[in-house]
Order: sequence, then C-alpha cells, then structure tokens
Amino acid sequence: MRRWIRTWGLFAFLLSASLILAFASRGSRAQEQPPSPLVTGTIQDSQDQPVEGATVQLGAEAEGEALAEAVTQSNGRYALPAPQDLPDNLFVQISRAHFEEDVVALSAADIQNLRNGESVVVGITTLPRRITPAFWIAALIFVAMLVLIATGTLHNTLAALLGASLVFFVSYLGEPLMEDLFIFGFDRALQYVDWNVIFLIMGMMIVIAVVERTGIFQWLAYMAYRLSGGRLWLLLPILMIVTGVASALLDNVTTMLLMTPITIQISLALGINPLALLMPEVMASNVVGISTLIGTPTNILIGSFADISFNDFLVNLTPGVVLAMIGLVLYSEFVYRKEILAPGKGEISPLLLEKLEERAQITQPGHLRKAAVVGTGMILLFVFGERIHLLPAVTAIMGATALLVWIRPDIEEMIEAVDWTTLVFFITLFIVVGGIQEVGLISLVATGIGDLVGENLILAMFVVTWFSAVLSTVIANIPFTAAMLPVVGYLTATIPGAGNKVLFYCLSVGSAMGGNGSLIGASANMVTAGIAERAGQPITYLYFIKKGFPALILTVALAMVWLLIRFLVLAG
Amino acid sequence: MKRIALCALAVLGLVSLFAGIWWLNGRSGGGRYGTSFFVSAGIFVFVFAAISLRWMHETSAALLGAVSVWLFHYVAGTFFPTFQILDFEESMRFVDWNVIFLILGMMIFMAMFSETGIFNWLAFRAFRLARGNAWLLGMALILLTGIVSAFLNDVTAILLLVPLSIEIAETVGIHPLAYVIPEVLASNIGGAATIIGDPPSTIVGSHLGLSFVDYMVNMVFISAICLVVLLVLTTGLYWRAFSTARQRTSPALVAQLEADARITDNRLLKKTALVGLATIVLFFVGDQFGMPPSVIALVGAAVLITWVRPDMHRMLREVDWTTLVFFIGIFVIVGALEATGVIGWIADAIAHLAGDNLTTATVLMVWIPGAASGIVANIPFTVAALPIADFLTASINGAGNLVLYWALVLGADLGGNATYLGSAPNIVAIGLLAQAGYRVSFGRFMRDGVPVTIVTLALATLWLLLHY
Amino acid sequence: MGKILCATRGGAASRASQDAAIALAQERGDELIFLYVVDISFLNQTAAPLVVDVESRLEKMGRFQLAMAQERAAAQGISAGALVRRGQLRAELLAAARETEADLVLLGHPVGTEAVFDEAAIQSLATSLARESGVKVRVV
Repeated sequence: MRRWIRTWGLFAFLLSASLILAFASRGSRAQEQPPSPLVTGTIQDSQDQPVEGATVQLGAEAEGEALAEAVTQSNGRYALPAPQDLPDNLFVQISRAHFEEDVVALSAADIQNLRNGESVVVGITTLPRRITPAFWIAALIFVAMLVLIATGTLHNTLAALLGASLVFFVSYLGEPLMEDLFIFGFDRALQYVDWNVIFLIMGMMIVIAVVERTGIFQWLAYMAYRLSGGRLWLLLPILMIVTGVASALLDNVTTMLLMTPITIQISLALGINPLALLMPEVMASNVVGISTLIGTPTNILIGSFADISFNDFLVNLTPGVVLAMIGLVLYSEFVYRKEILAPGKGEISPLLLEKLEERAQITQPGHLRKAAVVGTGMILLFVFGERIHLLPAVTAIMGATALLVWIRPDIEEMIEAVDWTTLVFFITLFIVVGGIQEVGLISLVATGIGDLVGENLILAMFVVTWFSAVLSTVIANIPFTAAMLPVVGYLTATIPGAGNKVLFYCLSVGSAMGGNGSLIGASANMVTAGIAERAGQPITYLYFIKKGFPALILTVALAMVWLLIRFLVLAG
Repeated sequence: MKRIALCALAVLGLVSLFAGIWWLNGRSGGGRYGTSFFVSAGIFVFVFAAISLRWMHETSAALLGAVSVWLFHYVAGTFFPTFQILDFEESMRFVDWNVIFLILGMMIFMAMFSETGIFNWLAFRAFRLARGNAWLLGMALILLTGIVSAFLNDVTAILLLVPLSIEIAETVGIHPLAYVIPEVLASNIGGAATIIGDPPSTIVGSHLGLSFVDYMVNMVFISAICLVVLLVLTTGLYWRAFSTARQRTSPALVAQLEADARITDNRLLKKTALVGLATIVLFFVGDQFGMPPSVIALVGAAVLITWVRPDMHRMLREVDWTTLVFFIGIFVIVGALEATGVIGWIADAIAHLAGDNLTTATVLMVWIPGAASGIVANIPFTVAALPIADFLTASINGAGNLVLYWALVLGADLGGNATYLGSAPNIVAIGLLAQAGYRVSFGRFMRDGVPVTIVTLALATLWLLLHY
Repeated sequence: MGKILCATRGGAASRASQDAAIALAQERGDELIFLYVVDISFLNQTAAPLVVDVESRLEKMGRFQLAMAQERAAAQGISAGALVRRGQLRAELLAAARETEADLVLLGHPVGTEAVFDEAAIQSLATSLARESGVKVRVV
C-alpha cells in the first residue's frame, strides 16, 4: 500500500513536473548586459603570495563613496566594472584585515581609456602586513592549544575545538569593541580546511570497517607466524614488513588498530613480552608510511598542499624508506635481543596454535572477494588517478560507496566505524592553524627560517628535516606539519634548486619519522599504547623515549642520506 | 515481480523526463545543453527515486549520487569534455557548511538534553495540572511538542515525547492516536518557527545567511497561528474521544508513570540548561555582530563538552553522522545540477509559468513543495528548490523581501503533514505507536493530516500575500 | 504447574489476547509471564538525526504496558510476571521462551483495524517458533 503510493506518487510527480516544464520553458531569456570596461589588477603580500579576500573599491576621492566594489580571488586578482559616467579623478582603495590599507590613483590616460570603453590594468599592488592584537591572540590560542595537547590536560579534539571556538568568539564579539581583534569569519575559516584530507580519511575508514569484518588482516598476521615457523628473529622482521606494507597503503592508526590485537595474541602464545614485537611494529608503520601518499596523515597534508602525487612519493621516498627500514630492523633485533634470541622461546603448544588458527579464519569469503575487487580498483585509481586529476579523496569515497552499495552492510554501523573524533580534530585544527596563517604568523616564521638558511639548499634540507623531526616528538606531528607547509612552500619558491619539491620530502621524512621519538609524537603510537594497556602491557612515556629516540636518529639519518643522493647527486 | 514493475516504472519516469528535455532541447534551438546537463539531471532523479522508494538507505543513495557525479567528471570528462560536471573542490563550495555545523552543534545539545529527562518531566507536570481532563491535557501536550520542536530537531522532539504521551493517554483512558497524531503535526509546524527547528528551515535560513533572530521574526507568527489552528482542528476531530475519556488506571500505574518521567540527572540538567540558555542568548546577541548560527552552536557545544563531560569520544559517537554525510551528498548532487544549468532551466520555466507575477509565484512556491513533500523526500527537494527561489527572487519585481523563500519553508514543512511518509517525524511516530500496539494505516493518518495540511497551507498563503 | 508466556504490545488490539491468557492461566492454574520486546529497527527507515537513547525510553514504555497487563491479571486474582527484552521480535521471543522454560507461548490474534501484524504473519511466526523452540505455541 505504502510502496504503491510512493511509487505512483513519485512517478506522477516527475511526469507532471517534466510536462509542465516542457510546456512552460519556451520563454524568452533576459538580454545580457553589454560588458562594461574593467579595472583589473593583482594584490600580493610582501612575500609575493597572492592575497585573497581583500576589498577593492573604486572611488572618486581617496576616502569617498565607492563607485564599484570587488573582492580579490584566490589568485589575488580583482576586476572592478567601471560605471558609465566617470569623474576626473579615480582612486582604487584596497583594504584587508591584517594588512595596511593602500590607495592607488589612476592616471588621466587610464581614465580616458575607460571612457573609451577599454579596460585598464593597474598591475601588482604589494600590501605590507600589519601586526595587530589579533596576531597575538591567534598565536596565543595556538600555543595554548598545543600545550593542552602536549600535556594531555584535555583530549586533543576538545582542545582544538575549544581553540577554534575561541578564535571565532574573539573574531565576532571582539570586533565591535576593537576592529583589530578580528581574526577571520566562518566562511574564510572554512577555506583553510582541506576537505581532501577529511574525505580521504572518512572514505578509507569506511572501507577498512567493511574489509576488517572479512578477517583478512588476522589471517595475514597468522600466515606471518607460519612463515617464520616460530623463529622469533625471523618473525620480528616479517611482522615489521607486514605492518610497514599495510601502513603504506592504509592509515597508520588503522594498521596498528588491526595489528596490535593479533600481535599481542601471538606474543602471549609464544611467551614473550608483547612490547618486543609491538614497539618495532609501530615504528615500522611510522617509517614505511611515508612511502605513499595515503600512508600517513602528514603525507596526505603535504601531498595535497604541494600537489605531490602518489607516484612521486613512491619513486622519491621508497629507497630511503627501505634504507631506514633495514636500519630499523637491525636496531630492533639488537635492542630486543634478550627477548627474541633467548633459548626456549618460540615453542608453542598445539592447543594454542589451534586457537590461533581459529581466530585467523576468513569469516566472509563472499564479502572478501567483493572487497578485493573494489580494493584493487581503488589502488589502481590511487596510482593512475592523478593522470586525470582524480583526487585521492574522491577515490576513497568511491570505494566506500561501492562497498556500501554492493555489500550492503548496516550503514549506520559503518559510519559509526569512522573515527569522527579524529576528523573533528582535523577540521578544528585546520581552523586554528588557519587563524595563525591569516594573521601572518606563518609568514613571520617563514621569513625567520628563510633568513636563517639564506639560499643554501643543503642547509635548508638539514634544517627542515631535523627541525621537524625533533619538534614532531614534542607536539603532535599533524598540527606541526600543517603549520610548516606554508613555510616550506615559501622556501621552495625562494631557494634556487628547490623547485623539485625536495624540501617537502624532507618535511615528510622529518615529521613522520619524528613521530617515533615519543609516545605523543604520532597518533598510531597512542592507539597502540591504548590497546596494549587494555591487554595489561602499558607503554609508558619514558619507555617509548628510551626505545624510540635512538631509532628516530638512526632512521632520519639514513633517510637523509638517500634524500641527499636523490636530489643532489642523481639530479646532477 | 513487484520489483521488476518498480524498476520499469522508474525507467519509464526517467525516459519520459529525458524525452521531455530532449524534445524541448530540439525546439529551443538546441546545443545549449551538453551531455552533462542530462547526466546530472538523471543522477538527481535516480537519487530522488532511490530515497523516495527506499531502494537503499538515504545516505547510501546520496553518496552514490555524489560519487557518480565525480566519476562522470573525472573518468568520462577526461575523454569527452562534454561530460565534465564539477570537480571535487568546486563541489565542496556547493556544500553549505553552515548547515552541517549548525546541525552538528545542535545534535550535541540534543544528546545532552535528552539524557536529562526534562521534557518528560514537563509532560508529566501537564498531566498533573490537567487533573484528568483529557482535552486540556491534549492541548498542553500538543503545545509542548510544538514548542520543543521549534528549539530541538523535530525528530528528537517526537522520540522524546511520544512514548510518554502514549503512557499518559492510556492512563487517562483515551485512545493514544488522539494525542500522538496531533503531536506529530505540531512538531512539523513548530519546526518551521526557528532556524534550528527542522532540516528545511535550517537549509533555507542558512542559505540566506539569516541569523537566528531574522529567521524567527519572520516565521514565529505564522507558526504560532498554525499551531492554534491545529489545536482547534484537533478539538473538532477528536471531540468524541476527548469527551468520553475517563481514567481507568490505578494509582500504582500513575506512580510508575511519574517514575518514568523523572528528571534523571539533576546536575547535568543544570549545566545543560545554563549553557543552553547562554547559547540562546548568544543566538540573539551574536546576531548583532554578524555571527553565523553555526558558529554559535559550535561554541556552545564546545563549552558544554568541556564543562559537562569531557569525554570527546562518547560525545561524538552520539552525533548522528549518517545524517551529516547524507546532507553533504545531497548538496553535491544539487551543486552538479546548478553547475550544469538544470536549475536555471527549471527556474526559467517556472518564471515563465508565473509570468513575472509575484502572487502567482508565491502561491506556486507554497503549494508545489506542499503537495510534493507529502509523497517525496523533502530534503533533496528543498535543496534543489533553493536556487530556483534565488533565480525567481532576482527576476521578479518586488520579490526582494524574500517572500519566495518563506513560501518554500512553509510549503516544505507544513506539506509534510499530509501523509505519514511526508516527513521523518511522521515515520518515527508511526513506528513508536506500532511498538505500543497501535497500527496507523495510511488512510488513518491522512484523515487527520490532509485537513490540517490544507488549512495551514491556505493560512500560510494568505499570510504571505497579506504580509509581504 | 506450568508456565505461560504471553507476548504482548499493549493497546486495544492486544487486550483480548491478554484477557485470554489470564483466563487460561486461571483455568490451568499456571504461572503467567507477559513479554514485551523493544524493537527499534523501524528507525532505520530514515536518515533523520537519532541522538536520543530510544531503546531505554521504549523500554520504560514497555514496562508501563506490562504493568497495565499485570494489573488486569491482578484484578482476576492472578499475579503475573513481566519481562522486557531488546532486539528483533522473533529472536527475542525464542530466547525468552527458552530462558523462562515456558511450556506454552501465547500470541494474539489480530483484532480490528489497529493490529500491527496481519493474520498470516502471526500464523507463520507461531509455526516457526513452535518448530524451533519445541514449545507449544497458541494463537488466541
């Protein structure tokens, strides 16, 4: 009954709508206005970056009423339509929050041209920055947020959410008190949010949620154990490589979420300390993650900012990653030699083995086949999609939708599986970082680093890599990378020879491998520690530093070697 | 068999639409609309049908539509330029993030409020005050639902109030339908009153960049009138039920009713109420400073989480993300329609139909969405109708006072009352009634819904024409 | 002395079956348990925001319905038990029948226009339930 009414109702609605429209639309269309002459130009800041959102007015006097008004686009351009009757003096007034105001007078010849119906090009206007109270407030909010995150007083997401709220609060309610308190409005803030990152993570998490139910990940870990035949010194690298490869294709957090439970199972069955396997795994996931665009959140950020493709990351970073990985494996074998080389370890009772095997069953082979088809398609699109400018986010959402429609799991459950806390964290963080970008703090830092490194590319590479590696251990690497991107972008534009984006790769290496230095350096670390703690094996902050920091120095140094070879020696 | 018939019908509908467009295309000089015009129109019609006919979950359908837009753009568009629709970044610009964040912020509030049990407590107060007078009680409950759904999402209002209303109805010995159906109608009417009341209101209000107060000034009056009319109509429709009701239950049951309607968490209530009040005040004050409602809602939610329960994970789990993803998908699909010129074409046709006459356009804008939202999904409909309203407002003289937008809100909200498929609160309430053992047939709902819809829509039209 | 499990929802339509269950319990001297199943799958039909804890709210409503049934039983001199379960109706009915070790399950005939199930659905539910649980199922 209901269905019947719905179907026919919809049908009748569509039919009548199309008929009515078909009859009605034979109307005439409004005549288009003849184009009026334009006054065009470009506005830049003192670092030659285009300034978006500046209000440009055309007036008869310097402070007079506006005859025409326009707002600059993202490339800094504006176009003012000139009115019919022009006065003898014309001024272009430019105003923008956080910048000095400027007035450009048009010459008599220009005005004559406009009267003749020809457009006039004003050219490039450079606006100097202005340090306003908003600058200090935005910086203060950012620092306070970082402190809250680093000390763990508030949850990361909550700290960022509060930060973003505060930015808006000051902008909107402070402005009437004092105009210089304005940081930015809601619309402007949203332009700083990188939706590509958000939707990529969202899509991938839905895909993982579907794939996870097939049991394939557990099966893989079990096979890793079988392959090593109980030899621990062999099992360790196998697990590290499995984790690494998985985290090159998937999000690090997701990888560790999948690997940690099974690793704990294996190590308990073998009677060894789970941390001996978990620590190398999580470090491997941080290291290998950077070899692809989608491997770590920082790469997603860097890739979408600097327009570096999946293939570029793969080609330029993989050898360095392999080098670092070899070093990491040797280091792990050395550090955990007591656990894995001790005699009598690695024996396993048949009963336990059976239990392990049972857990590693593939539960839904039908779904796995479908997921495999979709997954293959997705990887192909990730690799080749760049040819047609297909963004990774679109691919991820396509995969997620294909699985949702094809397998038809409970959609509410699948959407629940997405880690929205992280996504809200990202969005609010982008807004807070956008705030300090808007007020010009980033360009200040960039100028500082730029002065420091001068035009020396090798020095810049070292500074960017080690600076980001060390800082990533103290503050979470995502906000740091987001803040560093414009700086690196600026350096890339100014240092000769850096046009091949080498500094972005340095940033990628530094920020991701830097995550190994401390427990709060990367979200994968914290996820792993959380699960391990529930299993009765807490990883303390100090323990992580003790095992992780040497690994950081070793891996970053090895990767640095490769970067120097690749971009200085091979590039010749 | 039924499935095949359904698919055949859908295909027929699609083909007829395409044929109509094609025919017209041939007549109007042709060549103005590329392939992407038809592709995006086809995707929209498919998603519309999938949602209205429940082929798949609404969110899946919306995602599928958005993904098809991108698929065509990136894959086919690379080889045939006529297939280009709009790319990812452009489509993000069509998403109204104001709506998304406003709904997000309000959801956090709703989750908190619903845990306090305050609304059930209010309903029970009404029961006590009415002293067994079924009519008075009914009026009080209907008003309560109307007012609550103006400030909370309407589905939430229904989920909170209907189960207790059923218990109360059984206690005073009246048929629960006499309370529940008018309550549902009231929630749809109340939803039109504020910008946070229900999805069509939020979408339209945010599209216009209206503040909480701007929106309310325009809509509260007509909503209140419609609510009063609803009370009168309910009295008429259920007069016999009200007059024959008598209390049949024991004091023990009343005691249990009271226990069910207790305030569950007093401290939470105090904090939530305080922050909620501050947010409402901010809605009024922030308006003076041009603060968008979404920012206010987010600020309020952030404060609430920090103060009340700093457990971010749990808090965000309570947000219904499926709905937000659904909205984003719909925005992308309608963005594709706009980018390819489908919307402009339809708006042209309607403008021609209305003949540049504002009165005709207003009447059309009330009754077309009104009639349509009884049978088809009203959220995609509202999103798609907005750019049409933009176009008409720009092209018809005297439409600058936004009368067409108000017409659209009233049409979409009030029209949802006609059938029980008309809006989400209806469907939810019918489900809740079935849980208590009362089945409501399609006709039974229409017996109450259709008269109320016609009277309120007529009133709304009259009011719009007089006032603007 | 046996046990009778009577699945009910409340409302006018199920009053008849409650009465029948009470009469039967009186006649056989059996213990009577009313069962209410909270099933929120109907909410999946819409993408509307569902942020309320619907299940616990509905559970309260279920308890209220059962309390009404219990009172009617008490009026006949029978003290009946009450049971509320969450989940899908058929599965929960089966589980409840097993747990309470009932030897008779009563389902209500659809009465009037307001019954939630139609006759055929009730009959098929009854037969499948009887087959799977091995308990006698009667539609009254």
